Amino acid sequence: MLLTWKRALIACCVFGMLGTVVLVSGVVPVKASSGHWQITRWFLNFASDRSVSFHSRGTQPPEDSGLMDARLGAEIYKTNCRFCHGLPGQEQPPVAKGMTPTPPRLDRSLLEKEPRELHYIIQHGIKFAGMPAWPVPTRSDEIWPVVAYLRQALEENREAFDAERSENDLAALAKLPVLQACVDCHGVDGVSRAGKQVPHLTGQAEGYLRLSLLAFRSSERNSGVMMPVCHALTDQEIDALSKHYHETVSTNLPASLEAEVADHATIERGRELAMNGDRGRKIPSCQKCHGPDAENRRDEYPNLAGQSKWYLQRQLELFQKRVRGGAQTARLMHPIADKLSEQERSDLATFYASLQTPDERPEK
Amino acid sequence: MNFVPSQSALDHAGVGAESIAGLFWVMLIGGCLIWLIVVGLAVYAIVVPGQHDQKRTRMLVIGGGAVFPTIVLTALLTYGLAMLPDLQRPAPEGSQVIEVAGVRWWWRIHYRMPDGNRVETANEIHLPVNEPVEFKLKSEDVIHAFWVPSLGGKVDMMPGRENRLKLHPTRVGVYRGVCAEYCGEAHTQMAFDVIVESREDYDEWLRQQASLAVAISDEAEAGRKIFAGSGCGACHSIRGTSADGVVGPDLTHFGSRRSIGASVLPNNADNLTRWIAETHRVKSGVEMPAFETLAEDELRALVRYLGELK
Ligand code: HEC
Ligand code: HEC
Ligand code: HEC
Ligand code: HEC
Ligand SMILES: [Cu+2]
Repeated sequence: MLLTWKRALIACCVFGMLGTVVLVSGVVPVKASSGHWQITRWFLNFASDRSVSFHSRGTQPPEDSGLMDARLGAEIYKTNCRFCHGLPGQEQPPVAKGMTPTPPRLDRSLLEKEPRELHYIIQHGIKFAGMPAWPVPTRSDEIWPVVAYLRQALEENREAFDAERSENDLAALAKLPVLQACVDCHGVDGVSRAGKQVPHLTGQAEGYLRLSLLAFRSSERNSGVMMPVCHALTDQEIDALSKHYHETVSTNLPASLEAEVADHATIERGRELAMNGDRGRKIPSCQKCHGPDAENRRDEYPNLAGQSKWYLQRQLELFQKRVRGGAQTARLMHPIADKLSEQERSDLATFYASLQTPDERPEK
Repeated sequence: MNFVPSQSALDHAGVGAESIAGLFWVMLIGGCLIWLIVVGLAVYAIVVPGQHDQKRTRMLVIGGGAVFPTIVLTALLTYGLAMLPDLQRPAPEGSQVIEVAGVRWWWRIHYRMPDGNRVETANEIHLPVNEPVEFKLKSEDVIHAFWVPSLGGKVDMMPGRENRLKLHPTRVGVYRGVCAEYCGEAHTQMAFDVIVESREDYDEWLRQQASLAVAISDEAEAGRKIFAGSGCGACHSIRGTSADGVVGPDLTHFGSRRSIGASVLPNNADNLTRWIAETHRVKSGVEMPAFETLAEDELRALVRYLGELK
């Protein structure tokens, strides 16, 4: 039989019609229970590995190794990843196992991937596979701790960091069980237990804590770490947590390492700007809204004294890039952050981090 | 009284503006006369038939086209230049010196006192009638221009440089000054009020401006607390309180001013509420953030407090 244009066309039409009939009839199963064929699985994995390797070129891990805090990564992993992947090196949980493709066991074979590739996978997720993207695309900085944790956990065959619970902790948890969701990062007393990316909450203004938690819950404040944590909190829980951290004033804030190392001149430059502002550059004084010793400071305004330097500096950058979000009052910060140079952000953050004494914490 | 006061060089109330208005009238009338003559000649040339006398035509062209303009323009220039020394001459020693700085989009004002102190206020200038006053004009950001049409000429305010101007008001009243150099988004909303008053009223006003904030009623005390606690003091000063900000206008005697926001709105409770809660809808681009989250009763207390700051 000769292949002519006419016959080819007729064949195409017949196949097309058959295809439509099959599609409309619904006989093709979409069920996940049967899994993929071996060849489909191989093909998908190969395609996704190639794609990740290609697209993650140019992503660099941060120079500051303190931002690869495995301790924080472990806690983020617990809230964001564990219910699909299980702990690294272990079996997946039964529900996730029913997915097609199944969330892979994160085992040592993952160490073959570059950190940048892991970062890329966690930031963007994997299409058609059920691996979700990071909750906020603009906060990819929050992913590095997770990468650090995965690598460390797999290298050291370590499942998780043991949560150290003192008697004090247990007593507080018994009184306010929902604290369970916070202690491993923020501690019971509001002092960070997971490095400088986690802000201290100890003695923070109650109104500010409440508005911040509400803003995380409604996705008005962007953080791939805090948004999932707050998603399930009820209004009552938010009130109780805000009250708890406001009232728990810890006197043993760890001296922020960076502030200690900072030279006197940096702190003084920060102090001058924070206390007096700069008329020529139209920068208002921070002190009137953030303390120390602000008269009658509004409960919705955060106290900054003793906060982690890295955290403060990062928040100022996020304000400037308009990716932080926050409560409605956060708009007050945008024009202010726009005027600060990198040097000034660092000076100001160092100054506030250097305020350690309890009397520089908010007045009651 | 009308909220928008007089803003015209023709409605002059000062020595400078008067001579400028004189110059304007001379030029206007002179210009009209010349126009009439030229049009008359043109009509004559068209209407009268036949050849015109060559010699007379040539004389008319040279006389009317070269000699006459030279004489007229020289006279005008001399008249104009003769006005300058008087306009330019600094106010005599001992006159009031007022420093005005243009800031996007308002006016920072300092009165130099005999004892060497400087009294800060904003957006409203008081002048004693029939006395020359010396202005020192600066800018804190871009180029602005200071102009009170009813009182005198217009002078640029340049960053990094001090210009000067003398004003000599001759009639009691309220006049409007404006920024006369495009300076950005809210340029058209950058005006100020000038109040010319008797020496006694003026002395009384200046004495009051130089004082610390007045005592306030118990009802206003809540407002003062909100002012401090909301961070208004990060930008505004109220002398005698903890508010010592320098980014925005001094509010020590805000309640005594006619207007809000560099003469944008009349100063009353409703407008002040709007100014604080929806600043950018009143004056777009302004460097003050809107305080949208203040509750109604907080706003009321705040407005009451500011209103009492006479
Ligand atoms: C909704 C379930 C789900 C959640 C939550 C989830 N994943 Fe996954 N993840 C998957 C699935 C499914 C795959 C397999 C994708 C594929 O086969 O292409 C995957 C793949 C991966 C891979 C690639 C593994 C490999 O061998 O190529 C990494 C790494 C990974 N996930 C890390 C994480 C991290 C870290 C988190 C938490 C931030 C997370 N995942 C959260 C479902 C999930
Ligand atoms: C996995 C670690 C982790 C857990 C668990 C966690 N947080 Fe956080 N929290 C963070 C990090 C990281 C940030 C900083 C987010 C950012 O960069 O914007 C933060 C920010 C916050 C802030 C904002 C502080 C400020 O100064 O603006 C509040 C309030 C807060 N957390 C409360 C809580 C509460 C309450 C819980 C428990 C329900 C909790 N967090 C659980 C890591 C965590
Ligand atoms: C008019 C009041 C005001 C002034 C002035 C002000 N801020 Fe703020 N700032 C706020 C408010 C309100 C927030 C809280 C935003 C939110 O609810 O998310 C904030 C938040 C912040 C945060 C984030 C804190 C955290 O825990 O996440 C930093 C850092 C900060 N400000 C630094 C500064 C610095 C530095 C200055 C001075 C150059 C300054 N602010 C001046 C009102 C102000
Ligand atoms: C970030 C600095 C900043 C903060 C904070 C601020 N202001 Fe202002 N404010 C300004 C500036 C700048 C102007 C001048 C705006 C203009 O007219 O262009 C102004 C103008 C005003 C005026 C009009 C003054 C006049 O002479 O017409 C009033 C009244 C005022 N502010 C009240 C407040 C109150 C009340 C608060 C606190 C709730 C506040 N401001 C907070 C910067 C600020
Ligand atoms: Cu202008």
